Amino acid sequence: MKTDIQNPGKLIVDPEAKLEEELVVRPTSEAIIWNTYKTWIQSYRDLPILINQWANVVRWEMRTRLFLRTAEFLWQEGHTAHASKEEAIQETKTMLDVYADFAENYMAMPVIKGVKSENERFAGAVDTYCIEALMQDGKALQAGTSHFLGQNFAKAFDVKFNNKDNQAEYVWATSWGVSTRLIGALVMAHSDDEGLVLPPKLAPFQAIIIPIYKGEASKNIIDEKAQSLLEELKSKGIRAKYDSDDNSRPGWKFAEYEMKGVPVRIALGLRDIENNVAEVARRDTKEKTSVQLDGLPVYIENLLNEIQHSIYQKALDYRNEHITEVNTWDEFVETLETKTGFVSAHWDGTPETEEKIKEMTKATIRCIPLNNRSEAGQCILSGKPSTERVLFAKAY
Amino acid sequence: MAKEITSRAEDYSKWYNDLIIKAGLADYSAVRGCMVIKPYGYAIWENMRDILDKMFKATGHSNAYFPLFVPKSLFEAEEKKCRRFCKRMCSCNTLSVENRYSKSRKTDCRS
Repeated sequence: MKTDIQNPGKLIVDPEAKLEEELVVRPTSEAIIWNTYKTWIQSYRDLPILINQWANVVRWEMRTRLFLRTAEFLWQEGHTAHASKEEAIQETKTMLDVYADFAENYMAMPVIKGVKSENERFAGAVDTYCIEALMQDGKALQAGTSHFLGQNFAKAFDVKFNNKDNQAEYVWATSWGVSTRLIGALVMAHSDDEGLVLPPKLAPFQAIIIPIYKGEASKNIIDEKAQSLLEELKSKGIRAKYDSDDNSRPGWKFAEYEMKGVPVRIALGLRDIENNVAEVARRDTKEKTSVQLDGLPVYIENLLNEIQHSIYQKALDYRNEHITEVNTWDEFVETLETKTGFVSAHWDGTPETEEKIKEMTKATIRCIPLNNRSEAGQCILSGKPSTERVLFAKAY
Repeated sequence: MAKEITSRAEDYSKWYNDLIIKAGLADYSAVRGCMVIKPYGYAIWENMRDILDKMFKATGHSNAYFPLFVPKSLFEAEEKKCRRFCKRMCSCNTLSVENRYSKSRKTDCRS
């Protein structure tokens, strides 16, 4: 760039300042990383390399959605190098398990572990493993992928190692990533018409204390009680906050924290303190309970665990109700249009059929589940023989 | 009072966008297609990141950092990936003339 002499203060591209080599902004980092690994790897003793990077990447998109598909996003990308195929496949599966564990036990979002069809596979991968979740509108969302890259990148970047017999071999590779897309998934998986519903394990605040008062004198009494309660909650490792802001009314605060999805609300008034109780409301079910102040921190601790479990169960029930086995094309189309969700159907295994189904229905093969049982059947579109069902859905 | 959002039944897609904005997770930005992650949204990301980071380390991984820019020729080395990403990639081919030629830099944006 240079300043424009004709237009002071404006910048223009300077044709004289051309870089010797054109650069691209990373859409993913295999290229730069494998070019580097080439210099790090000579012998089997240099392996494995198990590296992760937290970074931003840029993929210019025509149609964008907040968190779900943005031109720039934050993510982590793991890139590993191995001496054997078996070890690299094991690594791919281990990281898929890490993602599934995170999705289910922290995000409270049930996922199906599977492998992608050729059409949906990551460019350059031998196999793409994925976790697929179902959103409340019946559309699927790919929440994370783990790729077994074979020796493709080692060959492209000429990365070889000397094995124990001193023979040169190409290195085996994996890569795996999740992104800020997970926030979009989290929002869509649990929230309702009043706002966010966040699982306690990921909520920035797990409990909010709101004072209910009239006048300065009662405020002081409530402040004191609320502060000691706040300390007790914090000492139990609970992320709690006391909102003593004078400028907004309790009703406004209730709605605000509902919108923000804070899992537990504790309302504390003068009469409550006299009765040694507080009103505890959970965000997910809106249930309200009067709870004794003495045992409140333990009660909240248990309640947070229960909420975490309960929203997972709700999402799991919904997901399980929305996996439909179909055997004919008409049933397939009907299910996609009316019931939505995952449709389990036979497919002849060809990219052409998958592409046709996508053009006709907008549904894609989300995955071939890892624990799939073999079952003889006929492809719903071509009628050709098939040995197992795959999961179709419309997807984000 | 309450910040109203579109109901899911009325328009699921609009419900989602309303929710992101009104819950204070993110905001639109001057660059179309790019977003601002606001503190409340970023706090959720930090929680996710911290938990995942522990899981990665528990399975033997270490963190490192590689450059944002990739020489175009390196990207071309893996043909399939090149084909898949080419339409969505941003390239840079000119530098700031101030930084390149001026020996006594008047400004350094980083400090």
